[in-house]
Amino acid sequence: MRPDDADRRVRNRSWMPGLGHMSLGRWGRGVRLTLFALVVVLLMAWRWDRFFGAFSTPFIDRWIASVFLILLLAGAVWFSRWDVGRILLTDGDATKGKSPWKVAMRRFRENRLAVYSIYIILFFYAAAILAPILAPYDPSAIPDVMANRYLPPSWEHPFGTDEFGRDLFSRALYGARVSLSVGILAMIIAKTVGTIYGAVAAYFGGIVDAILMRILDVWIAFPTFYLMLMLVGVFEASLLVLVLILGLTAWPGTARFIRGEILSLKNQQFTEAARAIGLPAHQIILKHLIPSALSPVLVTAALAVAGMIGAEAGLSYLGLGIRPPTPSWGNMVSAGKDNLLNAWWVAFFPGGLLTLTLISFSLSAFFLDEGELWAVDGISFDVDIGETVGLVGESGCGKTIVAHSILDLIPYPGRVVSGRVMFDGRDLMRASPEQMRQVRGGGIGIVFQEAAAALNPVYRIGDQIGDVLQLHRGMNKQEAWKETVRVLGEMGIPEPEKRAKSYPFELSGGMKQRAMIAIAMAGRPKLLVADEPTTALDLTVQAEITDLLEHIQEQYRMAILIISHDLEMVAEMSDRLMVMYTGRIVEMGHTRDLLANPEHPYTKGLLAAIPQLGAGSDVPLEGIPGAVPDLLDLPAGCTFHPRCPLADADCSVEPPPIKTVGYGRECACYKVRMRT
Amino acid sequence: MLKYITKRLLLSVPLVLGIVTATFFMAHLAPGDPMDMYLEPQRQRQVDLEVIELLRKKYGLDQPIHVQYVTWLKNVAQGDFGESFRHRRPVKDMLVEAVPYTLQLTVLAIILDALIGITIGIISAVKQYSKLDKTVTIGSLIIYAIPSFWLALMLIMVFSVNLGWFPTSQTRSMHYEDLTAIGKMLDRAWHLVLPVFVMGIAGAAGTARYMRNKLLEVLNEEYIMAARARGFREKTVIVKHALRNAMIPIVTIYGMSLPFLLGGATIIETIFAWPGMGRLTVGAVGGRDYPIIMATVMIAAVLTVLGNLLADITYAAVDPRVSYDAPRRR
Repeated sequence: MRPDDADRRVRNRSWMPGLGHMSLGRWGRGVRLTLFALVVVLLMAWRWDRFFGAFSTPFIDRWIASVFLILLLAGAVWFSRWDVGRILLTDGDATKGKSPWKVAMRRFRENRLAVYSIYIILFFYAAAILAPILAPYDPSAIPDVMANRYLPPSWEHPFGTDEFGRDLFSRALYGARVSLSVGILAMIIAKTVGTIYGAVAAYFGGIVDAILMRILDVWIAFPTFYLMLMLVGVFEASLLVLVLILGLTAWPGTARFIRGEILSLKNQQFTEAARAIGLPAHQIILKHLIPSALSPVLVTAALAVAGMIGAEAGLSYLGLGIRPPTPSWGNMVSAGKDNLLNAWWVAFFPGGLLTLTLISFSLSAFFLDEGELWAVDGISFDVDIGETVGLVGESGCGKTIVAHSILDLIPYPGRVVSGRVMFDGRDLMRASPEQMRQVRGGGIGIVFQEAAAALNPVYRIGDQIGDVLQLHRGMNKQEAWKETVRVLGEMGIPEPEKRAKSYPFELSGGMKQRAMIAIAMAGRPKLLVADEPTTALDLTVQAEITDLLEHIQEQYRMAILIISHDLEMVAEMSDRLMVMYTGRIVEMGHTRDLLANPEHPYTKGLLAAIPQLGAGSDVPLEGIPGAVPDLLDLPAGCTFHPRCPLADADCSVEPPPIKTVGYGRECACYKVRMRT
Repeated sequence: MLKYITKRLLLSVPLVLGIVTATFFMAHLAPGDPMDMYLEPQRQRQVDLEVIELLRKKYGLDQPIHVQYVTWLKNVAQGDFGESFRHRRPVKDMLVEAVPYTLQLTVLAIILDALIGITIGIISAVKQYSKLDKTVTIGSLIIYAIPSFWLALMLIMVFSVNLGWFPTSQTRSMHYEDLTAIGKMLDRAWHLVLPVFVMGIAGAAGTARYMRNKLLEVLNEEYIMAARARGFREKTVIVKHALRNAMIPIVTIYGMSLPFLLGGATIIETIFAWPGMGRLTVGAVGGRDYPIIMATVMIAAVLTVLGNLLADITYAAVDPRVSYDAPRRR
């Protein structure tokens, strides 16, 4: 920490925007702040008569422009001081923090296109507000027409002049005021009306909802632009009416969205709690429901503004929106459409500004996806022919990643960084794609966690099995169909001919799981990987599926790797057991031995949580304190040490290696000694 | 299937009725006397009050509004949309003339849209995160954001005015009548290039993004990983397992383009002086020609309903999960 008086000096310097930052060595932000303030001050000085003179005129827009300039300067000073204070307080560690808002901001800042777009939008809005100060000419005054008509772009007229000799740059600045404010106002109207409408429909439900939704159906049926055209035709379009028309044609989308959101929120606990205290309906809606559904609406707001600006420009272009002489980007383009050959600039510049604005809005609404990082580390195990090995661990510890790594199925951007998967004397990590394909489905079959998600919904069960038979067992269509029916029967599916012709959605959960196993078994694999094969099923069906797995293993003498968080189920089936925690195997051994004498504190904790399998009455029945840590943010050293009753200082330095501690028993813990 | 379609058709009857009603009352919300609109095109002429009364009677405007409404309903049910205030011709005839022109434009534009959009969408989804994918994603975002009238004007400026490759507007050349049959065809095609391109490219940008997102969604499904786990070739996985699922929502999108097909594109038709439905509507709004406005807006809305119906039926036809007897509620 710096001494206090140094801090004070920096703080005092930060009265000059950017100076404080520079003396803290933050040159980038400091220079930018100083430049910003300098531009504002220069602007005031350059147009002093207009800036200062505005206060002696009765025109509200000139007042607004001058006040806005003052606010910009004040804002720069305030931000400079606030930011310096923040840096001094936190030592500049502002990038940390996990609130959703900060994560979103960080992600947003990483997307450079989005940031530039925001800058462009802000710049345009500032220019629009400052139009009375910036514009070199009066946008509507017609000077000597003959002398000034259709002048090409020059220093004097950056965008050239139009057929009446008016300066197009000034007109474009004033046009920005119309276009941009129409966009924002119409968006606000649309979102407000839509939000209220949707919220009311969803909250009251029943007959109110039914009526409101039927009205919405009718309204939605009208194509937006046609509806706008009709209303513009019916009402004389002043600026205000235009804003209303745009806003009121565009709300149904929001209404639908909000209604859906609220319907799903409605049954959640906090609503019931609010109702239980006796809050009236409108308060529940306003205080609880709307804020929770609001953020997605705000995300789409940028796109909505772009839509509104585009619609206004379209209408004005057609001569049905803002009418000349009031400039709007749309009617300015329209004014140039008949003289593209001799005066291209008339249509080009206003349309270009409009395009740039619309593009900026859509790019700013475009967030990049967050990249994920998984960590599975230092895992080594083998599965022998005819053997069943179990892999257990709490959810989120990386079990599924292990299953998928074996067949190199990790979806991009994830990948297997190092390691070997030896199968039949061959390293699968080095196998060619062609060899890998032979192994997938042929040598190794995999049963996925959720059969409903792993079966392709648009193909019949029989076809999905038949494809595998044709691929891996070289059968033709007829043979494959016969074999399909036989395999389905073998998996205990009644009426296999009929079921083969069913689509996945027509089967029950247990049937789907049997079908999944049938697909995995169709290629006669030597190893079956079963990833949570029973988790999604009812208890009775679970037992049937484990019986089935045991049965087919006996029949085909294959190896099974069974992965689950359900220790009981795995213990019952497996010959050997591996316990996994945060991407590492912490203990493994023969099932019976491991259950009777767990060594690793985590294994002990797991067993203690299950009464009937507990090692003895001396172990108190309790869970493990704390929760599985986030894989992105693992504790140093042994990842279990924050939850471990035996942990001491050594445990938080290096992760313990896995070592043999007894016959067929391996354990990764500093506190576990070799058994004697 | 037949039962499902009938049911959906019956369900859309009240919706269509609502549309017709809403159109009527929106048009009659107009402040002032409808007669003013009728007379506006020739306001210069002094019209006798007696004549106005006669006209009022002729068009039934002296009746109370609910009687007018019922009359209008009856006429609309018989396909009679009244007479254009401005052109003094039956609206129906004008629509019949405009639709073929619009169809030429929109059918071609949709084909272009689908060809480019779907192809690019698939490529950029399959090669996700590649340079190409990024370019396509941002490029389509930009193209989608460009206002069509400005894009059209800039293309006209470059290709018609400066380079002289394509005509600036109209459906045919001045010397069209002197051309041979093949010459006529070519002349028509030549006039179609720019408007179809502008309409198609904007649509393609949207389609490409939609296709990409849908395909990526499907590629992240577990059944795709499961298909890989069964040892299929990557090509088989994408073409057979992923595309079939991803195409379902795409197909329905095209079902919903029915109002566009017949309603046309207001702005593009106006820019290219294309005598279709869109320009008819814009002209009518500019001239406050009520019967035409009501007819086109109403038709566009009814087509939207039919389009949604069509989309749902296609959905039911291509997706085995949707059963015909229990319609989905979205």
